[in-house]
Amino acid sequence: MANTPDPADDTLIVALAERDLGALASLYDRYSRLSYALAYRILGDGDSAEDVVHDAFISAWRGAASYRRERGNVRGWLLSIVHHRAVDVLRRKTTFRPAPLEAASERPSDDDTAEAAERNVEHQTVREALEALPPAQRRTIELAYFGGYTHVELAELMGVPLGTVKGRMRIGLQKLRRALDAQIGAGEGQR
Amino acid sequence: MTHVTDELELYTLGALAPLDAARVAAHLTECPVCREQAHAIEDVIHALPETLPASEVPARLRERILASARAELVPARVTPRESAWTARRLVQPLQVAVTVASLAVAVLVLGTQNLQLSRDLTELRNERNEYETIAEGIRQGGRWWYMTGKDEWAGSGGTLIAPRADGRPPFVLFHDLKPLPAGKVYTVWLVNDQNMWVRGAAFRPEFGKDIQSVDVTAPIAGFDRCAVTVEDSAWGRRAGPIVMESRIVVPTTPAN
Repeated sequence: MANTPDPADDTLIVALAERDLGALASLYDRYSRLSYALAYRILGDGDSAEDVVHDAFISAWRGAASYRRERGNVRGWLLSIVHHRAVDVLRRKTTFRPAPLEAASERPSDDDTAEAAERNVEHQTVREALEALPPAQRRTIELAYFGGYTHVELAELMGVPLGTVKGRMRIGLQKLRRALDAQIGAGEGQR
Repeated sequence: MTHVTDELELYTLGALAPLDAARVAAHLTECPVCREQAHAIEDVIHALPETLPASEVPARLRERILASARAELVPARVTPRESAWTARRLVQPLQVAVTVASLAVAVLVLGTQNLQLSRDLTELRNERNEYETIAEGIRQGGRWWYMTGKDEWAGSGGTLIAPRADGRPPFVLFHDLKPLPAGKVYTVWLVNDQNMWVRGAAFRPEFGKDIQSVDVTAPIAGFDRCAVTVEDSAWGRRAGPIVMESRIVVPTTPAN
């Protein structure tokens, strides 16, 4: 029997809406590492990250029928669920919020598969682009996305006007986008 | 239509307050211009997790998730299938005939779904308008608290909103409410600094709704936090477990 290609994300979501456990397993295998890394980065502890990823995938399982392709791709949809839930948990922890870069560098990768190596090459571009941002822009984006801070909290925390926070986010994200576009232009065909 | 382009970075980074995020989300459901811009920003933001070092995912997590999903199939007596793409390879001629007949039915169903989608869109527009009214009320001196779900209710939550300007009574916008067993009700409580608990509402979750609005019948003056319990009765003393509670009082901020 000939091998069949891995089903596309959209196919998996349709199957998920039909209550297909195999599709859930495939979706998990595809995105669990990224989801867990994100939840771990936001929350800073493995147990909480595990709970968040569990809840996020179960939420996707329950809500697959409501997924709308025009609102974004499956990967983004899943990451949004993970992010939303992790920030929700973080905001209940009043005393702990990880610093922007330090926590991310505490856990070196022990993933040495070929897939991971390819992934690391792709992601190196994003990381380099992020690190190339002026510190204030990078820190603003990281504190918002990984730290769960609102823009009002960020303005207070950083001692700058709300408009400055917005401006740093906008310009920083524009620079990241240009870096990603350049990466896609150079490496098209791998997706 | 007022576009929300100025807030899209904040929205996609999750850096807006809940009400503003709800307003932007409602706008995006009907504005293709802003939606396209939001998608472009999301593409960048969803690349951010890829800057993180890979972490070893606990081996037990996969089976834990599958077990939870499997458990939800049991009440409906649905047998977990083999994966759909495996099943397709095994399809037999008789099944093809059955599938064709099913598709004919599906076409009829899709027609009905289009009507449903149209109704959903109208409902979303109405909700959007309501959010804008609420946001304006809060800008003019209203108050709100956010309650986060605890333990099994992690992921659920609700925002108690008291918009002063438009004269509307307080209410709670809940999201991701879990279903309750028969005979149980959610109860919203207002709590003051003397730890006095006053019932604000009792209700059953509505099936299939991601967001549910519940009016609060008690005035919120004098209370500085709120919580939700699961009770056996819509009256009487508080006895059930706390499943959501507010963390802090959010002060009214002047409009910028």
